[in-house]
Amino acid sequence: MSKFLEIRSKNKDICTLGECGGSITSILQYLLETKVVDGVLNIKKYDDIYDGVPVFITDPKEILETAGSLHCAPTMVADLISEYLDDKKLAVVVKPCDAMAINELVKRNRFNSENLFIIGLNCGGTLMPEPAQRMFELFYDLNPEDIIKEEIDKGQIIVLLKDGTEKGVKIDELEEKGWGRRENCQRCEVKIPRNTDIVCGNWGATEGWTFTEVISEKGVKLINDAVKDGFIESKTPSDKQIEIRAKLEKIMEKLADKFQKKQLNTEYPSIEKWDEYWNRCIECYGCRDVCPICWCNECEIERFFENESLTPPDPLTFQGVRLTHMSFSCINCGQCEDVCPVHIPLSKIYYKAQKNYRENTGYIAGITDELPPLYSPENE
Amino acid sequence: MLIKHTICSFCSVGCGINLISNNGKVVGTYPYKKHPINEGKNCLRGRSSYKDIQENRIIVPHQKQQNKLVESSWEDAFSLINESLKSHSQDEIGIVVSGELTNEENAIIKNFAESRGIKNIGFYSHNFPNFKGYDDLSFANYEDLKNANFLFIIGNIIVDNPLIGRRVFMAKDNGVPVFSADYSDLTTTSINSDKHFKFFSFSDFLDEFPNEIKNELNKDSIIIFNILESIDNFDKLVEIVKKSNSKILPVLPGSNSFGTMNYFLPLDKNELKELLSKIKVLITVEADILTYDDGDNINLHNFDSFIAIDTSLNGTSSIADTILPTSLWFEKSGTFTNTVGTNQSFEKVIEAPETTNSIEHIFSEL
Repeated sequence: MSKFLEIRSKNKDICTLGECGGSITSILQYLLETKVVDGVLNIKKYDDIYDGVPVFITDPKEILETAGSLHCAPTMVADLISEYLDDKKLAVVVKPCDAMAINELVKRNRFNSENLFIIGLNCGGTLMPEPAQRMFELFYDLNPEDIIKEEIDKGQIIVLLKDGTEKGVKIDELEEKGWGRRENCQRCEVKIPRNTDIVCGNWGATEGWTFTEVISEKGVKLINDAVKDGFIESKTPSDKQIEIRAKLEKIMEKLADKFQKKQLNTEYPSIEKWDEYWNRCIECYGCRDVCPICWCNECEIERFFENESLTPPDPLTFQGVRLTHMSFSCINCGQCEDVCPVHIPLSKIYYKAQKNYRENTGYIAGITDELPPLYSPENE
Repeated sequence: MLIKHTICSFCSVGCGINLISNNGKVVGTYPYKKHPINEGKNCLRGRSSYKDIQENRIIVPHQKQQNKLVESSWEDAFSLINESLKSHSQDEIGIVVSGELTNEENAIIKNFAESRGIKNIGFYSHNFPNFKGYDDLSFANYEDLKNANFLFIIGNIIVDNPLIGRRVFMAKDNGVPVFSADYSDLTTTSINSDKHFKFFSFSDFLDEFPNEIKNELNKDSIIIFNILESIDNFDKLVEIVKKSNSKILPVLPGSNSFGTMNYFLPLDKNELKELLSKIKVLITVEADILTYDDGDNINLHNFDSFIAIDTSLNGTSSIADTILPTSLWFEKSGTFTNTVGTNQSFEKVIEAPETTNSIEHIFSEL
């Protein structure tokens, strides 16, 4: 099989309902209907397009609820697998950060990747739901409720309205003014997650088809079987298409690099500013609890506070322990920062630490197949 | 595994939270990032409350026999209660509810009380009065915090109500000066304030309200507070607020304290004690009276009949003559009104145990 394919659903309804020919929807249906997996972990629209929430599906009919893409879905699904679904044969649809977190957890034996089909998505980034709605009011002059679909394409965030009209604004323009994608997504350098079985997207794709890179043996079998059972059809993309995709990936990576320099260097908070941020910490453990990498059953951090009055906390002890415990494996998912009630830009410090660690050891969190050099599970 | 939206029941801020259920049990939380109040951020107590409220859960009716609580059937429990209700006059019966019931449940209980002519009914509001009596007062909402030019905080809001604290930091990041006052001089709120005042008595502090704060107050400033020693404190604060035309943001204790005020009289501790002294039959509805400020001075042993409608065996329900087990917050649908008066509805996350009954069913049988 060629490494690069274009695929689409053979079911006409799914083909129009899903993004780019409904390929993923049909692959998931194939996996469920033929009982290759017990269930599927994907994202669905909860109340509206700003409300992407993970959903675990076992009934193939319900897969349609997850058709189409959502960008207001800064979700993380890796720890849902290790906490609740590790006993299942599972197919999971992932953004690069999910895939990297899965990689870190599998390395730590939190679950077995044998039981897992990982379907990756090209990802230009996600938007936070509330700011996204304000942004559509401010820069698009639209009532967010009138928008029925959004997409990121050709450097723009494009919205589709109830009345069928479209409106797009350049991402650069939005982000220069402090809007647009989440900061973590802006600086994320993994746009095509290759630590997966297959990775799908519209970069380089023919209209109505999904451009797919087949990564693993499992991925090859998956595509072959789904084609054989009549769920999807496939064709080979042209060299030109492959080139376009590679070019888009390069552009996105360069942009991420620019944002990294800005966020982690030129505009990185000063020591004084960090002191101010740490003073805010209320020790809610939100950053630790949401971190997909943190999983110790007995957390070192709590030992520090067992018999102490918590007011005011010593946030530096708290963050210092976390920093030494997980920062080398920080995958820049940004969940810690998203949930911090007091707006501490936590993931900047953790990710900066991983970048330094990477420079010194070559270890790329979520990508490198071995465990980080300093990591010894015996001590956990 | 299923993730569902709901509204946090821990305090009155009204944050959204996703609960994760697995095999019919609530087992975890997941950030609810689309919720306009907290955008996926929750405090520790909010995230743990699904666990905490399941502690000492009681799921079958209990009755006291020879000073011991023993399991009973719903039929027996209802008939015993109804006998006792029949043998007492309406003035001898009292109901204490809590600020954590839904508006729909409050409406049912109010209806019940009115149809029976029961007037001894209310809830402990931690000394917050009914806001309805203060029509000319300007109450701030969360958006106002963004546009304020000065914030004065009484209490450790940043730790007690972090999702209001968050908005304080957003204001601070915009250069808004923040002053605070509390019994302690070293709190997370104090170290994040531009100026902090320590007091021994809240009342004295308000009587001798510092000019330094007074001078900063104007129509675009907001006083945020979550403690009151007595109802007088509120009136004194109102005086200060009115003189300066500023706004107030009182942060109530219960997830639906604000909504409950629309149905029942908020009681301070003296009023609650007085109500209890007048009655011979007490019905509590998820009201753990003994945990209230000064609750250890309250005697709940001298009623002819004490019926606790509750979800858990706690200090109060465990001394009742009859316990009627009801649904936890995530086992029911309804609405809470948060501390700025916003109604938020939420859906049931899991089914309640079959051996429990809803507030609606319980009151329909009394």
